Amino acid sequence: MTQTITIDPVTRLEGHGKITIQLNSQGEVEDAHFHVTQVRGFEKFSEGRRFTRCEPHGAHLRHMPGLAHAGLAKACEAIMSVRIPHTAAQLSGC
Amino acid sequence: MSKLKVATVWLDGCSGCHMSFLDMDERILELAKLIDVVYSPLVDAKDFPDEVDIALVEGAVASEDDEKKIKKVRAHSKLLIAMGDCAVAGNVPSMRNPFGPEAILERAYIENASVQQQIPCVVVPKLLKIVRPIHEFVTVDVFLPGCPPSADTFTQR
Repeated sequence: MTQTITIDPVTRLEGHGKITIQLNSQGEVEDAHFHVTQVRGFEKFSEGRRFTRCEPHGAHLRHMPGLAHAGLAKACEAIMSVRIPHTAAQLSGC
Repeated sequence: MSKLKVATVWLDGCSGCHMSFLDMDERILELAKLIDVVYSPLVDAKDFPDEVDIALVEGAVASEDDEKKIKKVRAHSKLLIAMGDCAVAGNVPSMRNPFGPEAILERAYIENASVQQQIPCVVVPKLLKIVRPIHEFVTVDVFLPGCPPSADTFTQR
């Protein structure tokens, strides 16, 4: 008899997620999924806005200190063709 | 005197309010003498308890799961506090309202995906057409605005 194990809530994750594990009739793992149960729509509602706003907005995507912002900051630097000092890159973990 | 049973919940938020709550640093030790955190994303609890004295809710209501959750929280809590601007007024999650769920899912999972383009539909909750603050679903006892409310705001109450 096949069985699905659901893990909810998920820890070690800031945000929302569910894990489902599908077992076959022998009780062996057949498949596993990670379901992202929250979507905010930043990709869409940021369109048409000035790019300098994407970082302050992005900070409210996931408020984990520093983490979410690094990718956004890198994108803005690429748009402006700016290369940041080596020390800054080390500090931001890029 | 027995400790107050406190629960914290995050709906469609970014956890910034929870982080700000923790930002009270050593003042949390004083608080720990008065409260027991019985349910929270920060502790290992699976189900919302039957009886909670104070529930702090962060985030707006954006999906059917959020709606079910907030109704459950209201039914089992004596005092419900809407924590932060998303819970109080919608805030950042409601920025998707002019576009609607179909447009944002299309952009995120089809246009922006280079492999396996598909809109998730298994297990993930259905998005509500409009993101709304929690007081549009349940009665809220206390509103704590701020994005996030500062640690001082929490402790001054």
